[in-house]
Amino acid sequence: MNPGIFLVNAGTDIDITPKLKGFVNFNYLRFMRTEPLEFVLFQSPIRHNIGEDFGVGVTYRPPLSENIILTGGASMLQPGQGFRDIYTGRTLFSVFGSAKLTF
Amino acid sequence: MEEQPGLRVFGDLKNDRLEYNAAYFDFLEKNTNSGLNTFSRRKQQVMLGNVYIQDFFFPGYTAEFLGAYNKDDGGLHYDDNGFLVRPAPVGNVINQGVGAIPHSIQVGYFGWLGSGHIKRINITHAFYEAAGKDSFNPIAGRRVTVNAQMAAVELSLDRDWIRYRISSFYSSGDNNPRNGRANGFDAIVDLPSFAGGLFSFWNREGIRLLGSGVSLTTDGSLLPNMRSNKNEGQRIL
Repeated sequence: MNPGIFLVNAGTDIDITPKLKGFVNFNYLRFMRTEPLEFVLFQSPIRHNIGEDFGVGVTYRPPLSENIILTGGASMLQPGQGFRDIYTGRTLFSVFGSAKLTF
Repeated sequence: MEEQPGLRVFGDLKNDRLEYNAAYFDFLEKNTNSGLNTFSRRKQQVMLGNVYIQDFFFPGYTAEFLGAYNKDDGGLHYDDNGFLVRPAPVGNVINQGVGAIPHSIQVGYFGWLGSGHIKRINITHAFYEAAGKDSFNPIAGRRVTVNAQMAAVELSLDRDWIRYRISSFYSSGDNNPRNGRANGFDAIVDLPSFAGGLFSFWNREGIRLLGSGVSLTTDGSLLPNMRSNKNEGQRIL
């Protein structure tokens, strides 16, 4: 009873140095069906287009092993008509960083 | 501990070109805010078996065939912040005068997955068929039979220090939320490194479905699965 999704993606993974890797990513997203959303939210119509999702980021592994992995990036979602029907038309942003230590 | 406890039997045949696993997991409840295991049982069990076959038709391409069975007897559960998460607070979950209606989900997953390269083109793909039943789907307000699919494929090309990739992902959706057939796909537990992985906004961020008590999508997932909570909630297939 969930809407399902279809997405197409294009991106590149870039080995900038042996320790530093970069990522560039683009997704176009659509709901497969919106009837479950219309039913739960008592709202019609809800269109299928979720929007375009663009992200960039890097991972840094100082000792060249998997013991220390530092990750940082930023992504944004430009809402399509379906997302606007539910939420907002404003572009959404996310900035993140993480450190993963494994010993 | 973050991982779920399980038993695993595994081995290999034909000089390691064929590997197999059989595993059983009895899930533990998670702490809502840390995501770490507690000592309470989640009342969810998973049995799975898979086999990896190296050089399947093409040298450098490894195929995996997988079968899994998931039994989720959710019961009644409030998370550590006091919110009802099982059954999900959506649809017909409250029977007036009786209270929340717990339900059990029993679903089998059958998958063909692959990873490797065919000549210069790298390929990663997956296809799953999910079939089973839910004793009381809260949105449908009735017992439902599950028939749902997921497919994903990524093609990439390495040129010196750059990998160019294109991919596509599909999960089936439900076109009639009130009938007895559930066609929306959901995974048992997912954390896909696909279509950008955590560098994608849609994958990384959990987005609540305002006014409903469930999420449109949970964090670390591509699926718009309408769960109340990724770990503690039940699937709404």
